[in-house]
Amino acid sequence: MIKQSIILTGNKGYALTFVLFINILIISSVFVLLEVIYFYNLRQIKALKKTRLDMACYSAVQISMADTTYISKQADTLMCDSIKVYVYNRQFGLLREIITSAFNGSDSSSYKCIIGSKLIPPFNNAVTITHPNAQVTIAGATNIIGNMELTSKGITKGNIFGIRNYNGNYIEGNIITDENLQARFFNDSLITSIFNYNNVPGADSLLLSNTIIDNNFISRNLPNQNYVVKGNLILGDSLYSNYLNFINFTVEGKTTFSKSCFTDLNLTIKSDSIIVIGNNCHIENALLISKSGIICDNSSFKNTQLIARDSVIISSSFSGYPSVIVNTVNTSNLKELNSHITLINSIVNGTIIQNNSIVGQVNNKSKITIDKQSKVQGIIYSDNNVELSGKLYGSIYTYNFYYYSQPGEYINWLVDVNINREKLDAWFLLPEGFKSKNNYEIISEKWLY
Amino acid sequence: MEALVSIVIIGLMSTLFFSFLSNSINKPLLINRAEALVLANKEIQITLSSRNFQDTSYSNNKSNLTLYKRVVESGNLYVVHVSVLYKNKTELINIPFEIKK
Repeated sequence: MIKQSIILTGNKGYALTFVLFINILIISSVFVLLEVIYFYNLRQIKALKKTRLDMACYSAVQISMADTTYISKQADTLMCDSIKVYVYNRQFGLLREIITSAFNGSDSSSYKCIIGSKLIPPFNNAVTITHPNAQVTIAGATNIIGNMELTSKGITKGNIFGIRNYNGNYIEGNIITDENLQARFFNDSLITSIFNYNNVPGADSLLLSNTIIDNNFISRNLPNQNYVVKGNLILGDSLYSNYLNFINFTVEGKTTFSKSCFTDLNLTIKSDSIIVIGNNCHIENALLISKSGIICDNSSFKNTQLIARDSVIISSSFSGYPSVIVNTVNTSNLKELNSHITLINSIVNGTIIQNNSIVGQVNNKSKITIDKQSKVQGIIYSDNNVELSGKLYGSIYTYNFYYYSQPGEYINWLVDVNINREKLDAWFLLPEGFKSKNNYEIISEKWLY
Repeated sequence: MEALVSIVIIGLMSTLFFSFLSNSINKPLLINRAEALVLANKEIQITLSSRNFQDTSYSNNKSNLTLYKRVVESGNLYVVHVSVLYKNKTELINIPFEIKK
């Protein structure tokens, strides 16, 4: 106290200097506090703006799904919370993808989602058989949990030599009869348009000869690019995407995913020839279309669509939801009458579709085969035959059930069929193409930024 | 004289400093916006995941912030307004969004 008094009242003139020094300290601390509050606030304002942008993007998707007129437009703008949101939507195989983006000064938000349609009747049934006047026979250890919808009333019980006898309690549900069941519930115009591609390079595409796609190729070449490959295409390496870019290949020759290939690129391959997915591959976010066949062995998929004209053979593989496996059969082409989708020791979470240009052709042997070691959670749809030996947690809509035992074939015999409709996830969504009004919901979503 | 000038300057600066500080603390927008945003975000997440379209309101632990969720049906959509009020008077945040029915 004495010391301070000396400084303030001293004769050497320290007092004002000391006060100015204190002032500078106070002013500095005020400025520091001001800056802390300013930046803290700025951060909160940015967070609030970002939340508003995010919700505007989300709202735009919801508005698009609620009013399907927006779905018919490829690009549109919507005002949500006074924010202009850009909406882009595209058909991605049998699924639909919506991308919304909104900007506010330096802030931005972008949201991408894949949408599907809610399950509609007849997929609330466990089994629907559309063959007119189908005479259905139950044999073996058939167990159906859910309703059966048929075109005629008669269900008989039968025995096949070598198959254990029917156990008397095959269904936990109702049997519904409707003579006017539609034989075709799938609109094939969508599939037809998917195969309408040619390998002539356009103004927006680059021409390649035999090509190996690896990380060097991806880093060397521009994203969002279309390529026409006049030869064979090999995908090797681990090909990662930042979810913003897409890469499209139209391939004249064979396409091969080499051993242990991993890709989550937004990849579309349209091939004139066969697509082979080698051992231990993992493919995400891909659309693979072949005018010939697709063969997969010991691999895994997520959000991948396999669409082929001739055949799809999947062995020892796992397909995560939402997988779509499609085989389309032009019945006027004799070569395609033996087309098939075959699942061997595999699991599929999604939709399996076999679409025929004409239903009920006697010489048409095309079919979906699910072997005893395979499981499907989802929907199986066929305009022709389904040979179901494995478990189905979901619904099947088919023209015929098919069973083969030496010496002959059994049509609409349900032998050791195991279907549980109640085990299908309540949020399971269908791809596009079924003859019903689409009631869209989000299958998967990703915030791009 | 020097001492007097010094005391006046110190007094002025201190008054300015403390008035600024108390002003900042009394402004609900500056101090409570972060907590309000957390509350709003949490409610939005709950609404989206549980599809709960009931009007609701609740307060934070300090009881100075109240969250209101109001849901209005509009055609095929639910329009949800999530707002956070300071002491039931000052609106700190209002975020509207739509969800398909």
